[in-house]
Amino acid sequence: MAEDKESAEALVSKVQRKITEAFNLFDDESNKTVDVREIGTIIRSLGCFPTEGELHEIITEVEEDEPTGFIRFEKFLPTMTKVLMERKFRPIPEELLIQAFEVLDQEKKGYLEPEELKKFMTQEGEPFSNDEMEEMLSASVDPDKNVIFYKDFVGMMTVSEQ
Amino acid sequence: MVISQTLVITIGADSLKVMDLSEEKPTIQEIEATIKILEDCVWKIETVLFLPAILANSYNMSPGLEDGLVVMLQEHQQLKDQLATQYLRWLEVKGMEGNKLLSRLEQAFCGSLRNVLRRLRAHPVLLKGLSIEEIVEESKKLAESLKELQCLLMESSLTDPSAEKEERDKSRYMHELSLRHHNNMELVSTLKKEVAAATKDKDVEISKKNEIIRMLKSSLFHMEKTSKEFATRMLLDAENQNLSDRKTSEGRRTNMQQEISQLYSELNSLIIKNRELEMTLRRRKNKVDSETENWIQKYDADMSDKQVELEEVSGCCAQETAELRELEKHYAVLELEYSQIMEERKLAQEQKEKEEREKVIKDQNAVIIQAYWRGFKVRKAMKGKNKGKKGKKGKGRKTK
Repeated sequence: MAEDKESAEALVSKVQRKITEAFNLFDDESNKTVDVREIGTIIRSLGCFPTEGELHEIITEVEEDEPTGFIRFEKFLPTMTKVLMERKFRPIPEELLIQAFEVLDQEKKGYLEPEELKKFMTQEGEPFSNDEMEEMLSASVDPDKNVIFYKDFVGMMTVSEQ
Repeated sequence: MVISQTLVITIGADSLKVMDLSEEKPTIQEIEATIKILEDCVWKIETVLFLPAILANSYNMSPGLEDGLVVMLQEHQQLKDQLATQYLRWLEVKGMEGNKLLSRLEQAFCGSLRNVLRRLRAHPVLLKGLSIEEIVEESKKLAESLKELQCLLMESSLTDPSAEKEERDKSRYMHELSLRHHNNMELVSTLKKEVAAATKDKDVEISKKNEIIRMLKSSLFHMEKTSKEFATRMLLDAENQNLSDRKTSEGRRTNMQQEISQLYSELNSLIIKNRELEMTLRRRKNKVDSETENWIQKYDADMSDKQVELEEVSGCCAQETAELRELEKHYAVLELEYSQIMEERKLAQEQKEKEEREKVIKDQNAVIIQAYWRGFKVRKAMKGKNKGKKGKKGKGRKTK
């Protein structure tokens, strides 16, 4: 028990150290605050895959009562510790990702046209901005066939993640 | 009386018989016996005369004859032949021995003849069919003379009772009469005695009967007396009863009359009362009648009104039903249309839902991809940053 507790405490301190590191990376003025717009990047840099909706929820939780546009470290640390300890927003499995692409590929061709992907990504869900879209297309489109072999694309992403 | 008469008659008959027997008995019996013997002789002679014929025919005799008779006849024939030969021999040689033999043969022949005769007498039929042609003349004469003798005897037997006998008969008859008279007298005396006894008995009987009659008369007299008394008493009683009954009945009648008069008066009063009641009832009845009449009239009027109304209503009803039918037709068309429309709407709704569902799915999947891509991009950038020591910072700012 005591060991468990100790290891748990050690884990917690480890996690908190990681969070502190990530937070400090974006604390430009070194006054234990970050811009609210950097919170998504911080959370994602800690290995999470939150949606924009989930990100909003966390932001509303850690924000001050009067929105100042900045997030304080004291507020961010316990919430983020809890998130990481509970393993929320865990990495999305490869199968689930491929399934998502297959849903978009209604004719089961095994690939997607760039226009199709663009249409889905910019009109459904939590739409991409044009820059984001350009980036994604540049990373995913097969240069020879000018289509997206989504399985290859998913494989590329998951390999680089590991 | 009757008994005595019969007695007299019987006595008379007996005396007559006795008298006859005493006079005729010796002569008649003798004569009759003689006649019989003569008759027998005549028959025997005749039969003997027939014998030769019978002997001659003995072999041809009718089959009804007994064998014994035939044998006897043959034996007799043999005896006769022997006798004839012996006799002829005797005529030639007269001697003692021949004499003896002849006498013996004669005896045997006589016995045989007697037997034959006895047999023939038992069968008189044999003699009937034979003729008398061959009969010898002397023998015939003998028979005739014997018959004559017989006739004579018979005549004598019939004519014999003569005057000589009459005297004797008379005296005997007188004697008989006196005897009979004496008997009669005795009978009469006994009868008289009987009569006297009978009359005495009768008198006793009569006296007895008279006594009975007297007793009966007296009893009758008594009876009459008692019955008269009874009748008078009954009459008296009846009269008394009658009187009392009449009295009571009169009393009752007066009572009844009173009652009747009372009842009459009651009846009268009741009649008057009932008349009044009847009058009132009649008045009421009239009133009620008129009322009913009014009611009926009213009812009739109401009925006619109602009828008219009913007709109107039924007319309306018919019209409305026609209308209803039309409307129903219309309704059916509209309903069909309505159902079609509803079907279309439902289909549209389903389509819409399906689309929405698809959209949701797409949304979710898009979100997954987008989240993954954003995370991937940030970490890629962070790696690059870590290598180049805090390179680009503004990348994350693009997101929001």
